[in-house]
Amino acid sequence: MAAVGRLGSAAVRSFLWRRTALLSSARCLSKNELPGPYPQTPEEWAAAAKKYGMRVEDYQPYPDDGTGYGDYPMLPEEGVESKDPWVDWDDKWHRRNFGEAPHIHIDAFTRQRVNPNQKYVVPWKQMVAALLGFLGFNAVMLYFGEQYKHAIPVAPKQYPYNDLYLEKGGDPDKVSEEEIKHYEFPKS
Amino acid sequence: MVGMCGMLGLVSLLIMGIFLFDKTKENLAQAIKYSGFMNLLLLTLMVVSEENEMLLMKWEWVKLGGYSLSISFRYDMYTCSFFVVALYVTWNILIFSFYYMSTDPRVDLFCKYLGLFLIAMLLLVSAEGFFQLLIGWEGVGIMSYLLISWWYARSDANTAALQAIFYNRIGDIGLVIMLVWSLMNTSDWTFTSLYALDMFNVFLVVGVVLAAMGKSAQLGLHPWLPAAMEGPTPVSSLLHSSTMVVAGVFLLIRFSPIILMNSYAQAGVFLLGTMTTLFSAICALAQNDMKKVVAYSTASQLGLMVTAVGVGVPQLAFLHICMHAFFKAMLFMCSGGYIHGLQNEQDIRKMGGFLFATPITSSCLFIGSAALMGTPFLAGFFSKDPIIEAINISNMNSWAIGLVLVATSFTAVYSFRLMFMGVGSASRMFTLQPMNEEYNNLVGPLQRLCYGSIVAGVVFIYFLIPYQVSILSLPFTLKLAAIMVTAVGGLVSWDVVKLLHTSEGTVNVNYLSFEAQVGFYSHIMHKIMPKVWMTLGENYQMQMIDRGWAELTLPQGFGQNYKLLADNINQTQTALVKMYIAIMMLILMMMLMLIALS
Repeated sequence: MAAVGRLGSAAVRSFLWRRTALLSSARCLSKNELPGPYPQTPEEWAAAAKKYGMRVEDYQPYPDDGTGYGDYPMLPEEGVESKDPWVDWDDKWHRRNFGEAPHIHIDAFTRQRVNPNQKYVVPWKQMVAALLGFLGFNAVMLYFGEQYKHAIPVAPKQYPYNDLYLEKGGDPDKVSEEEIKHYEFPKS
Repeated sequence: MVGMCGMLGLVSLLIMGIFLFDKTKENLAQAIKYSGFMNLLLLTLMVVSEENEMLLMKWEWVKLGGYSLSISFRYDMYTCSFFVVALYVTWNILIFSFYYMSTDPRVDLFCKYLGLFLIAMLLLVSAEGFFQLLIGWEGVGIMSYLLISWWYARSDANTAALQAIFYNRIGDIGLVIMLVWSLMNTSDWTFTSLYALDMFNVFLVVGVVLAAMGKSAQLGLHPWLPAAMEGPTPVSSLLHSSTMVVAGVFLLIRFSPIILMNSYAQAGVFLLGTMTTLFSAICALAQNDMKKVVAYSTASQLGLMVTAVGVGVPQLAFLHICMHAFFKAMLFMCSGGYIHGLQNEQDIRKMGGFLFATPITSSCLFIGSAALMGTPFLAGFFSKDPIIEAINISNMNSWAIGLVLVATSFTAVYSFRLMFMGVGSASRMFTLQPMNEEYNNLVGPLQRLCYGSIVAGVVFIYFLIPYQVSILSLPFTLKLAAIMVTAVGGLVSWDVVKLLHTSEGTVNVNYLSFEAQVGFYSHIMHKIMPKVWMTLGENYQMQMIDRGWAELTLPQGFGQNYKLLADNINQTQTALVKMYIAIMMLILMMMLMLIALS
């Protein structure tokens, strides 16, 4: 049974693990440049690096974990907007040179989409702290505000038993028999 | 008679629709004007006949078994009043467009878009059925997109229009939830049947509030509203006064009987409104773009309207919608006049001293700002003051009530700042600017809206039948609270702004502050949310499913496997007889085995 299990496991691995997704989001690549299988040997590693126009030292594929990126290099996430506009790019709109492998998710990093390394004048942490501080402070205060709701009495509170004269610390010798009423319900 | 009123209201809508096809924009303006007066007559008739009950004109469109889908119009006091205000304001905005867009080669189309925008809004407001509500709702959305991106060659305008669409799509998720729930629980998908259920449902209310958040730019879904200032000024004027942004509040008003059934829902709406009004008021304090100041003030006032719904006085929220339409449209027009006069300069730091160059526009700016602040006996006073009184007397969150008062004082702060930097102070504009008011299409609408900003409050309060009894008992201090905080805010603002602009080099203004950078909200959310969704989408939806499993198991998988099979079968085609005999024997054996087994 163990042999059968190993055989099955090997079959699944060979079906999935060594495969790449059949298409890539890097649509600008030609068919021959599409990702191949994950490189296993140093020779395959070098061939893959050469295929993507990279030095072997710089080449690092995505982990072979079934996500199907194959031998495609793991490039840094860089938005087009943050690339140097003064470089004489071959493709000026995408700020990219001929033969340069784009990021596998280049669709996400085009203009007007995500620019992960965007620089802000105000530091990122400071901005987040300011916004969360504002919202957090108000959330806390609103919680307390909910505990102590705004209420405007329109008449003094009325208690039974002579308005709790004794309970409120009144003089027992001076208890008045007269009932105290701040309001009464009209009889219909 | 009420039936006749409703019918005439419908006719006025049709007339406007017909004139949208007219070649000249002037005729459309006339059609809107006469429709407005026609609706004013209807409103008068309704008031005289003391009718404020709704009128349904129902045309059954589709009938499927026990379920019917109808086009129906709901003419009640809300609808009729809003028709009058919206038509009056839009007429003036359209006339203003003749001045503002006079050099635009497609001005006729622009005016038609404005007219269509208005019609979509009126359809929404007069909707009795949810189907019609959806048409109006989406119509307003798409027209706002087209109008904001009117100058489509500008990247900023396109981005702003897309922002408006995307933020509203998020809100529309709520609308869809609400629509689906209503579809499942009512027989004819109308407000009447929904009210008849007399039932609170979490999905319904969450859907409504989310939809209102998107359309009325409440905190969280608000960034599209100031961004929409990239559109032409008449668009901003219409968008912020009587269409689009008030649609969300109007939806809340329509659903207020259901929202107010549950104290948690009520508190949620109240808190949403208060946070919006405060946040937007804070942002308005430090803006230097004239239109942005007015835009944030709109967001702040929308927050106040939502707060009014949350506190249980939706009729006052509606009143504020109507009053706000007059002075907000006028404020935008004043901004437009200045911007044109200054050759498209919108920075208030480069304005000043307009009082002498443009006395009418400046007076209108002053009156509009005063009405916005709630200055006694102007239009804003009659709606804003009762809302704040209602909030002050309510048994709601005490911190939130404090926030509303702070936001009210901030209204005075940014209004005074705007007046000081725009109208008052010394002139800081470039020399030889062609500032003048020699245009009837500029001055006329301003004056008419100015009259509205002055008298509309009195007229509405005096003549219209209130839905609920006003608050009668209030301590003296609370009665004066709104005016007092406004006065304090105004005085402080005038003093501080004067100090800022008279003492050289002694005051350090931080243009990267929380309020100047609108709470950093757009910076943060516009980076985090796309990053999260794009990463998830690229990694999981696209790479693993669309281009992974779906491809391996479906189209390309089939292709590859068939190719593999074909390759293997090809191996057998060797043209050798012994191979064919072997195959034949193999098949024969298999058949015999099958027979034996069976």
